[in-house]
Amino acid sequence: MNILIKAALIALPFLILQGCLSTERYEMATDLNATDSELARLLILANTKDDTEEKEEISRVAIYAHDAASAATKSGENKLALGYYRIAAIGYWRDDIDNNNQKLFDVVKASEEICNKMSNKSPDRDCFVIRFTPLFAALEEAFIKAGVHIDFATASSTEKKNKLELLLKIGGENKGGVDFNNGALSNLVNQAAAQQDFLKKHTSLNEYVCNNLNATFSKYVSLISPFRSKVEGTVAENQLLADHPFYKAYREVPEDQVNSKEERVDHLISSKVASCKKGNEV
Amino acid sequence: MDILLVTSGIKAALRAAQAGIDLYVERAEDKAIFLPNVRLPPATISDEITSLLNDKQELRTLLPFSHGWDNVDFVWNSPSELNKQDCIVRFIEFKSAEVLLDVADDHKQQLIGGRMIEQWRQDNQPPTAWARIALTITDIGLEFVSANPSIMGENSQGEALISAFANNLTTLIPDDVTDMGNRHDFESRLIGIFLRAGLSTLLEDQGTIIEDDNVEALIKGIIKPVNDNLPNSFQEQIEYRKLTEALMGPSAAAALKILSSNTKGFLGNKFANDTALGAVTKAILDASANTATDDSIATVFTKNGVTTLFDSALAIAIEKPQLFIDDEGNPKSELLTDLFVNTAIAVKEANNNGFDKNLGVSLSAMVISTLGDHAEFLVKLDPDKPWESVAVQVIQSLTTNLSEAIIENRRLQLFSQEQQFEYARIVLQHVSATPSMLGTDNPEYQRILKGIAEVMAHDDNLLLSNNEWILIAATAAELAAVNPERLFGLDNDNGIPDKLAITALKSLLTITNTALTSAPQLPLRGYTLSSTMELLLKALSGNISSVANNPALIETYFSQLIEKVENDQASWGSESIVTHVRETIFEVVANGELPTD
Repeated sequence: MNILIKAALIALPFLILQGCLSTERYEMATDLNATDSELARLLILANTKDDTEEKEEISRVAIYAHDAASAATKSGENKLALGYYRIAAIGYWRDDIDNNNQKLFDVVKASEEICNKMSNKSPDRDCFVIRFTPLFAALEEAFIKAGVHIDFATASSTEKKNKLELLLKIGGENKGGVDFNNGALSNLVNQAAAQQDFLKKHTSLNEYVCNNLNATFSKYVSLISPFRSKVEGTVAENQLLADHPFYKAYREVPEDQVNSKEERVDHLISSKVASCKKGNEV
Repeated sequence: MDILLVTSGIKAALRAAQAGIDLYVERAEDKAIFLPNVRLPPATISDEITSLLNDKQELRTLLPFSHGWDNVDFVWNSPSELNKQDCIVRFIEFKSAEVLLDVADDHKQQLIGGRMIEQWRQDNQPPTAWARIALTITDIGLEFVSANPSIMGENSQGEALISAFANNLTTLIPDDVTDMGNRHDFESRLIGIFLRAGLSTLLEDQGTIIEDDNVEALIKGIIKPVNDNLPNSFQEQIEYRKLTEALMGPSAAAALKILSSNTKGFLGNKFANDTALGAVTKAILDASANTATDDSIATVFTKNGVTTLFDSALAIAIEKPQLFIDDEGNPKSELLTDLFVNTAIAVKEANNNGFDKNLGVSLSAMVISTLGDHAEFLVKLDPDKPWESVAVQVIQSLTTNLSEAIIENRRLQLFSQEQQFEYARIVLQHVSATPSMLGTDNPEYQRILKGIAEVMAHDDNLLLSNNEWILIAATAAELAAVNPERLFGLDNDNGIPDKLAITALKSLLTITNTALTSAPQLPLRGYTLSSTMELLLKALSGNISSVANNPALIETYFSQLIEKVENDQASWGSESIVTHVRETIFEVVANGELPTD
């Protein structure tokens, strides 16, 4: 037999195998790209509308990505699967559909297994974002429920009580339990602190986390401050500060070191999450 | 070829392709993504006043703001509805009075509401894309080593070649995955093909020297244009990939060989010029474009044909890069594209009349090579007519004339294709020694080709072998080149009969044929006849005073000679006939004195 034909026959199974694998991977990567772009488009579009209506389009992208992630996992494409899981997680977070909350946890659970399996080869951003998405979602939901400032002139005492309870879900201590919003800001700060060494080496993710911590904490201070102001100098003030340890810590930042809300927030957050301290970027 | 080497090559090509796909997938997985910010309740008027007082410290202690300002929280909390209204009024006054700084940025941030996040932290980033491809290239090298260890020792040429490819990868791989578009695996395949060709070249000749700069030039000048020109349409891509992948391997090997041999000599170009190579590559791609059209070279020729043309032009680009670069250093490829396209048209037309395409390709490549060699002279002779234009005309003329000659001439049909090519080549080569004769205004080579063929047509009895006819054509071309128009000219007004050589040779052939019909044993065939013809051509290139006045003199001379041979066969063998002709023919054509003994 001709030597070239022999060689080709030897290589043929290899060629066919390679061809199949390559095509599938290429198609999945192209699809991941397209799904990513579509999610980004919908998120930016939703931001411009600034509402909390249910977003079916984002939900559809999330569900599609969720299915694609499962398929990629079955194909052994773990990194691609995590890319899809990350899209699904963000989608379930931002679709404002309560019924999809459980799916978010399903995504976190499924991807957690892959991230652990991949160990130090797991994709940094995707694993981090998936793990943190429930924290962002919980905090966001707590803020949405807490709503805008209370009008002390017209609000009833029940309304004031309810509002204060909602603020507790943002800034109160996390006491465990099953409440989705329990101590949402504390949770996020504590989890970020636990990841501060990682964040120090990941500039864009660190900036994202720190900026969001600062912005949410600043908003939380604006919301809680009027309640404390109304009971200033009383036992109730001490109780409120005890219930809101981060707020208390905020007020205890030495005055000589700060001269604005931004500086004080920054000081507090950096004291809790070292990677947020200015000049800490690698 | 070693079977291990063949399988290595296949595996290497597959690995290169796989690396390209891996790279694409990795880019998709690792590209920066948009992560939205945590949404917060919209800002209230209290938030706006808080923000103002944080920016303007001096307002914090002034009424009405001072009443609600909390200097620990740095928050303004309305103490009463009345104070709130006062603060709002003052707030609006301040906002109206000053242009808000960075309002556009704030608005933009609000609209975007998130940021782009990279995949990897700094110390955890996998090898960059080009490094991964470089690793693949190293792998390919190792694949070859296992099949043929001799090319890859320390400081070997194989090692140098691998390094050179790795060093020049940044030319090919874009920084952004979106720039790769549909070329995700194409460039890797090209590199694989090229590298394999390079290593194979080293295997064939271990004395080959391939400099790093030459590899750079080859990547920039050949691989990159091929890669960049990949069309968008899927259907076109299929054709294009088939063409370029077939083209690259052989052409890469040919270019490397030329470079290597050029580098060896003291006078050769040490390095290839990527602009010149790029001009040639672009020209062949442009000429191959639109493969659906009938005139594309990819449609007219086989892949081997296109490769042959490409190689002939690459050889010129390596040896004379200046021919493909304009005064401002830009590549010149339009004329070469025209040359390729018109070559295809000429060969296609000839093919329609039964002319073999492969012969057409070989002829065209030969013309390109020959005229490229003389390009500077041609430009000097006529600055308005670049060598590419002359080459087009020569190709058209050669294919037409040879095609017609073959169709009309049964004797020429007995030539193998290789001999037909050699017949044309030898004529053109001798004629091109005098570049001024290549212009269409002076189509001497056409007259020689047709003229010798016309004589040959009378060789019904196969008195001369094919190779002897080729030698006669060579002699005729050599002499005609230094005696323009004398031997094969028409409408001469210089006292020399038209088609002097053709008439004389035909006369000789006719007389010989007649003699052999009645006396086939006469020693007039082969060597005798071909030597006599050559001597006759030489004599006609000298003093022809008598023949010019009396063309019949030739016929008389040879008739007498053959009569003598017939009458005294013992005295006349082939050698004595040739000697006799050598001693007498010059006098005959000059003075008209026929030998008497």
